[in-house]
Amino acid sequence: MDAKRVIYLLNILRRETNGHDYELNQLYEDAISSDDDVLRLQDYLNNYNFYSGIGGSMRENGEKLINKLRANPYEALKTLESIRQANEMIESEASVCQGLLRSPEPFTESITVLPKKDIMDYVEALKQTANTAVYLIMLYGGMDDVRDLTWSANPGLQEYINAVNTKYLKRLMKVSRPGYSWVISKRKLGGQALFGGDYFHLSFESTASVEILTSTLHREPIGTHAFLNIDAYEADKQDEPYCWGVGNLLSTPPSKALDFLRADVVTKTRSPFQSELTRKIPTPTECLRILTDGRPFCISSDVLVNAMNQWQMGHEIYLRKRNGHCLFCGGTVSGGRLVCPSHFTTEL
Amino acid sequence: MKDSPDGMELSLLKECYTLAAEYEPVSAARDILHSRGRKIAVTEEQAPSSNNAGSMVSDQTVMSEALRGGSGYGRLELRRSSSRMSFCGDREFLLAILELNDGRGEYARIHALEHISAALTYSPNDPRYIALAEILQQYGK
Repeated sequence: MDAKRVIYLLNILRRETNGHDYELNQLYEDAISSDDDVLRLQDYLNNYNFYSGIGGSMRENGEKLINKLRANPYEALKTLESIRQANEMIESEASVCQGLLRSPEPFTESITVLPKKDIMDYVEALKQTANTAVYLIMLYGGMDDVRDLTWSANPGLQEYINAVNTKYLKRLMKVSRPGYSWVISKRKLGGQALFGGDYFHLSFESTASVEILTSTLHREPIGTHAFLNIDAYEADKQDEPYCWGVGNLLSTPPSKALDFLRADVVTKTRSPFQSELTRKIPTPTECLRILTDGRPFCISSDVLVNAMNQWQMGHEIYLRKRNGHCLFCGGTVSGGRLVCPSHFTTEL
Repeated sequence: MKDSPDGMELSLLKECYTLAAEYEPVSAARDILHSRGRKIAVTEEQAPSSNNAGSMVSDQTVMSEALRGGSGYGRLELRRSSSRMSFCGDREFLLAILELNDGRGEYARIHALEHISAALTYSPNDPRYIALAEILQQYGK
């Protein structure tokens, strides 16, 4: 039978009888303990976390009502009505809060109540959101755009929510996403060029046209927004997209981007050492890893192509010097000369 | 502060949730991220515009033209572009190349040497600068 009906009948019984208090109280206790609203409220109090002033008041009110019910079971029907109302309020707040945490837009409203079982998932989702927001800011904007962002070591849910909504997503929304891709192709120097050999040519093209241009190529991802044409690398192909992408190249996956806020991130590469120039240019990512000495990096397409050209042309210079070939035209030179004498005129 | 995000901002938010979901190992958290991303509808017009991609110029697009002799750009355009480049080794390297493209006499050699010396102060280990400086010094002897 419905617990409230039992309590109603117990009230009548109590009015019409004398004594048997212990037995009656036991019956009240059984009825109260099996009431759906009481069970629901106890579930909320045990299995939900309450936050901020509003959440705290809801928890306090719920605890007070349970205590009141136990202390004065004879007024249980009245108290149960208040419990029903308290449950409705908690349920409604929990639903609003879960809606907010699943809402895509940043919010500033306070979170008041959430099921304990979901909290770690929300924290995980918020942390991943913060990581990815930082990643995209660095990808599209660069390191300067994240320099003043901080992340506490072990924040609670509220700190996560505040940081993600008021700092990370807000900052991400201010970033300007480029509508074009950079494309680096290998080309042969010659004709009017000063140096001989190959070099890497940088251009910018619409992302849509690059997609079409590279759709049939053997694309190997380098990061999330860039690709290497591995066939072009291995076969030394000319005039074909060699690597391309949008934004900067980062040495972190999105899921670890927050670590960059505390790291000494390199935005420029060093020049290759002479000893390194004896080998063929490695892949772009390997080239960056070497020329940043293994440190975390956030590198623009300009810095990448400059590093690649230093290595590519430096290697060619090394080979030509070793084999006695002119650095300009590739012809044979002797007597320790670097270029053919004909490339310079003697008259002033 | 404005109330709701515009199309470009929504597009960035959607990309953020989609990428986050891709890298999220916990399935329940991934569902939350997916659900956030799915609630954002991005139209074609909200995607970043790429109409001006062809006219995008950076220091290294200028250098790319300079290295291959400036045939596409024209030397005059390269000179103009050099004045817009940031002060760096490549700007001086470009000016040295332009000097030598204009002539290979002693006057050009000395000016090119001045520029490549300046380039080396920015980036003393760039093998291209070192080689050009060596060439120019060798022909001064």
